[in-house]
Amino acid sequence: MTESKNDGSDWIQAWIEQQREQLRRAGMPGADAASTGGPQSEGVSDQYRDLGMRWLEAGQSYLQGWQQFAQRSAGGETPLKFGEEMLNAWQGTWAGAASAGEGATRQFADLISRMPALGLAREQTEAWRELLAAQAEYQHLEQELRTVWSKVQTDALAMLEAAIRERRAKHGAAPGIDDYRELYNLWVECGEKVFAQVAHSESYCKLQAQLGNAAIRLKTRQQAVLERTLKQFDLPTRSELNTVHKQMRELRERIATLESQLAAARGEERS
Amino acid sequence: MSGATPGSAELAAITNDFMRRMSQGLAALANAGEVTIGSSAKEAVFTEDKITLYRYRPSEVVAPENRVHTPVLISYALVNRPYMMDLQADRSLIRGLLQRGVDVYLIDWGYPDGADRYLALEDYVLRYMSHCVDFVRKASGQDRINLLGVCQGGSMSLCYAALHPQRLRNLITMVTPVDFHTPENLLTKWAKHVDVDALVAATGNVSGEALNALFVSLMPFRLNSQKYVDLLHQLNDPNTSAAALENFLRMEKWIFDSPDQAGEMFRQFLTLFVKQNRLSKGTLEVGGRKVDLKQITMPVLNIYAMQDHLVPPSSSKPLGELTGSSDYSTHEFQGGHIGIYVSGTAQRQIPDKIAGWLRERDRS
Repeated sequence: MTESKNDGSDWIQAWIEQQREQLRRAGMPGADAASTGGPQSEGVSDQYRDLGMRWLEAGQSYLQGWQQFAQRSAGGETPLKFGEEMLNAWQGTWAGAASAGEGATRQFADLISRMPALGLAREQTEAWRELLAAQAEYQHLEQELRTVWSKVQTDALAMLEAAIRERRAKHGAAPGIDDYRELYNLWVECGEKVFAQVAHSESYCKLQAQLGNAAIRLKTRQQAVLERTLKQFDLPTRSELNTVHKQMRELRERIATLESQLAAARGEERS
Repeated sequence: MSGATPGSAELAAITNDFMRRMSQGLAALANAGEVTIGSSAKEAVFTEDKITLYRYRPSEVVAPENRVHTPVLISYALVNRPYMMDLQADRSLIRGLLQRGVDVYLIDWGYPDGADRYLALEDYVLRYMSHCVDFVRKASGQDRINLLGVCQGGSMSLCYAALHPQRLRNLITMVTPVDFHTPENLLTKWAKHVDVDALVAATGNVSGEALNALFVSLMPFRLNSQKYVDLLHQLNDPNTSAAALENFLRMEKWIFDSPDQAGEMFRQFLTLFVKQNRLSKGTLEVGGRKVDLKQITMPVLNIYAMQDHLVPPSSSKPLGELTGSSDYSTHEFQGGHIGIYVSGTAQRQIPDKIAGWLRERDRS
């Protein structure tokens, strides 16, 4: 195999830079050693801004279609005013969201979730609205946790670099790492050290639990929507099965009690 | 990367070599066959719902005077499968006990499904475990038997022993959590803010896959990546035996063969044991009966692993202060939560320790 010649091993530094570059491209915070622990990366903001602009373009096409339809209906008169207003509102919403660097999807979900449910489909709308809100909450927390994990990775990389420097200081120019696997093992060791510190922190415990709780709420909302559909087809639901299981358990307990009483009457030992 | 970057050519060569080794390892892995689990002969002697009580065939080469006359019943944890105790011929606590004249029974809790979501702590301790103990007492003709609890199965065994001390001659706990609130207890910290009631209400049973993900995330770099890289690297080594690969695959099967957890039992365990620490506080109730560890007056052997990242020793050690036993012993194993069953050191130490300890107390 190809081995390092222990000549200062520029390849190790090259590898570290390669990893940083990958993290930068993925928009992970702190990928740049100088910005470790800084604000959210440009990459993530760009993604949201792009998403916002796509929504904006889609909205403009949609409303322009309606304007053309209205023009034709009115025999070629000027576009309807309400169309312009809506277009402006639409533009304002998404352009604002994009410029603020926030997720367009999240804003849209937020808008829907604040509208009161009305009419015949009120209950269904409400169920879907709750589902959307739960999904948005889950995605937000998931992103927060991803950010923490990303920071663990970048901090592990920084620790690895420090460890190599320390070895160099001890052993002269050569860092004492002969091949990729040794470097990889050292990286794993650094990763576990960084993660162990994070994992025991109150903030991480809380965030991880919050994400878990959000996932539970999302699942509950999904179940509610699904059960409503199942009922329309007269299919059994989990809630109905739960009721049956509870009844069976109660019956079983009553039988066990009766058996114990019977055994006691016969003088047998029971648990 | 640009070719002009210092070290980039060397990095490319080293990376290629590493990837070549990984590819060769993958090719070798593709040729691996299925692995078999378990080594000792056993028969099912009692079943109830989804649980099965097994009796292992006693060794015929042990002289009668060297046998431990009181049978031992093993209560494994509900997470993961109990065949860890008898994984393969050279990694088997059960085989080691049989060879030393111990009569071994084991409770297999089975795989709970949706119909079992309301099974509770009292079902496991006062019904299943109690019925198994009674079966072994009757089958062996002895009023009191030995109980060996493993991990969560140890916590349940402590409950049983406190509620039915008159039915046990000796109690052994292995890597058993007693105090869940010691600083090293990472799982407790992670569980602290989880809404367990909502979790179980939404999911019913708690999936084994979810628990696997949780356990793996305790050491994500090692358990998601390094152990597989190590394997592929070893497979390139002509000195690596087929047996070593089989050992790895067998262990891999055990790790991820995780039954779902009955919802109500999981809710109670996480709330009462993990979050509220009631077992060590003396405020736990099972089926309306208070679990007072001071009622455990039979001899107790507490075995724990010094490098255990799931049940740290600090969680097991407090048992000594909490039981009412005047014959309390400990054994510190230098290894981890799994190594205590499968490592070479464990094969030499643990069966000897248990069989010897039981023999000394067999007729007391």
